[in-house]
Amino acid sequence: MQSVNWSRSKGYIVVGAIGICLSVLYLALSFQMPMGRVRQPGAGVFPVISGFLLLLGSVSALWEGMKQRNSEKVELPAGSDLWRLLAVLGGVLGYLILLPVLGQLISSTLFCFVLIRALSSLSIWRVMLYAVLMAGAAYVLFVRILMLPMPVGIFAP
Amino acid sequence: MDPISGLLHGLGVVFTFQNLLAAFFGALAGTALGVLPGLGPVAGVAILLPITFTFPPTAGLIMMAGIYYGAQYGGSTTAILVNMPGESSSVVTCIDGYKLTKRGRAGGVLSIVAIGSFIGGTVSVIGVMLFSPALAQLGILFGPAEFFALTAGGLLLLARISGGSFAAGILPMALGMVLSTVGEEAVTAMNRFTFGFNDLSQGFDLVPLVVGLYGITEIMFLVERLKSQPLPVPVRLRDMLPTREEMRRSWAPYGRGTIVGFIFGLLPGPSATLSSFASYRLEKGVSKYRDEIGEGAIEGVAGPETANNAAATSSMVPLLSLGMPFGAITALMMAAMMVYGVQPGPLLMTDHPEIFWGVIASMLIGNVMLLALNIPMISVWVSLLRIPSHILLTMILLIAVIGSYSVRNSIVDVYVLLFIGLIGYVFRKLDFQLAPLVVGVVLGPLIEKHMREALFMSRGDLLVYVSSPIAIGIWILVILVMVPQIKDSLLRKLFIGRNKSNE
Repeated sequence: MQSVNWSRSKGYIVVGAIGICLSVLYLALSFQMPMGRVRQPGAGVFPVISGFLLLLGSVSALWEGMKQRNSEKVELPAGSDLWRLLAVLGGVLGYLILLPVLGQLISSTLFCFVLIRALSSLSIWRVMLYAVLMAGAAYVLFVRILMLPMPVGIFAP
Repeated sequence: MDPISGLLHGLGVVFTFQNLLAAFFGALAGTALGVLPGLGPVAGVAILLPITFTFPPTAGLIMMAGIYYGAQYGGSTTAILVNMPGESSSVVTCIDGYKLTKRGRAGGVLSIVAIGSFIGGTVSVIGVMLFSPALAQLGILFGPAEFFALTAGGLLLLARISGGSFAAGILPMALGMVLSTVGEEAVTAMNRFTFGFNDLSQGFDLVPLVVGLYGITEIMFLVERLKSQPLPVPVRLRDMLPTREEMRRSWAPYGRGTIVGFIFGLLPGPSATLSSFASYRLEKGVSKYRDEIGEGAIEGVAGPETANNAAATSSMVPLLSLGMPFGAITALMMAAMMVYGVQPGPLLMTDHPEIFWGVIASMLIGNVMLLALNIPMISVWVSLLRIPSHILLTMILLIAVIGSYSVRNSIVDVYVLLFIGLIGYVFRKLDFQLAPLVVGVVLGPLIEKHMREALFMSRGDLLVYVSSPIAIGIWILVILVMVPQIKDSLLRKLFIGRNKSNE
């Protein structure tokens, strides 16, 4: 795997900092909810407790990040490995965008085509064949046999 | 109903065409998911969850249980044949299993594993049968304060003992609780954190969350280090017979693995994984052949594989008797029960005996099915490992998206799948624990319910949370685990006190 090393302590600091921002925002929203009385707690009480726990977890991640040695590394993908990963994630995102528009069968075929192309060095005809077969099999199994309601898109009858 | 009549009632429930089919399909799908790299038992159960909803509750839960223990069986196949664990509880199996494969003993080892898993699973079912009713009887004494201590304390324990640092457990747990607060609140029907999105008023669905956390994350790891997988050695049916020596050396590890696995399954945490590691260490400590373990000894495979199956089975005890999921899969099963309108907990045995005893009896039948599926069909499972990764990963992603969408016909759920997958990827890279997040999402609403009920019933007395010996006992245990310094100083005082009195 082509990779770059990133310090684990930096990762903890980043996660901790994001967590603190999120928990402060979440707590601010929680405090706007009704708190009720001790004998009848309102809808805001549990979110406040959860928010403080998130804050505690985030502060401890930040603290652990600052205390960790810089020698501990996290391996992150780089070069062609990173591009392949991004292509797959982009394929999934594209699939989600196209699914309600084009419907399950067509968007699944396109999705399979993009993914197999990104993950293999097969000829374009074989990729196409596999994509059609896989999307077709998924359609038969989920829509026809299991009767799961999937989007039909603009090509709905 | 006493355990024997309960089991007989359960067997009566299982021996219907639909329930037998559910057990068979669960065991089959579980084994396939365990064999294939990319989808472990947790993501597998989550993806197949929408399919189980097409069955009645008993059949659906029988199928889910089958997937769970089937995946434990299947995970060992890849570990032994290609040195690649199908899921985390088979990691230790790689060490000795693959070395034995290189010596030409793959078939024999796979049979030893299948027999061990059968023994571990079956004996554990007997334990579940005996323990669950007793625990459920105890659970009937629980009020809101005790249930609050059990759910909140259990979640804290899980977060702390799942592994890693303090933040690695607490942060995901708190995030899970935060996610559980999204949607309509149960008491006043107020919408919380929905920001005007109607799709969010029912809260986050567990299927996209779990498939994202476990499935998408795993696929991202596989994609970033995509390489041609080593081809498994062909295994023929006639190679499957273990030698007499292998069988003789496996009996003791089977026994020890069963006990270790059963105990670990009752505790919070990733019980199947922890029990396999504990069993391996135990074998290295007590086995007559301990010097050979690590170099290709049958004890290093028989013990851990028996343990992880026993743990998978016994983890049903807290779920069925107290309604407490101590891991991600049992959390999913609990969520499924709630979708079916079945409340897991002490009253499950009396309110829905067909589910309680049906699931237990199905595990007994399922283990027999797995034994029959694994030994004669080994060449089929091996051939699954020959599927090229570009086909396999595409297929898994396709199923993950369709599965997540189909639960509520919501495209928001599919975006949640991707987003949570990215969070899971970052968490896994940094060694944060994922199970506390899932259990936090499931237990969050229950913790809130019990917390509010306790205050309401005690008219606002905050001491209600420590008003009974059961609640006090649970909180003391939580404090001892959360603050190890207190436990250490207590133990030190105890030992110094004893030594002084001995002097």
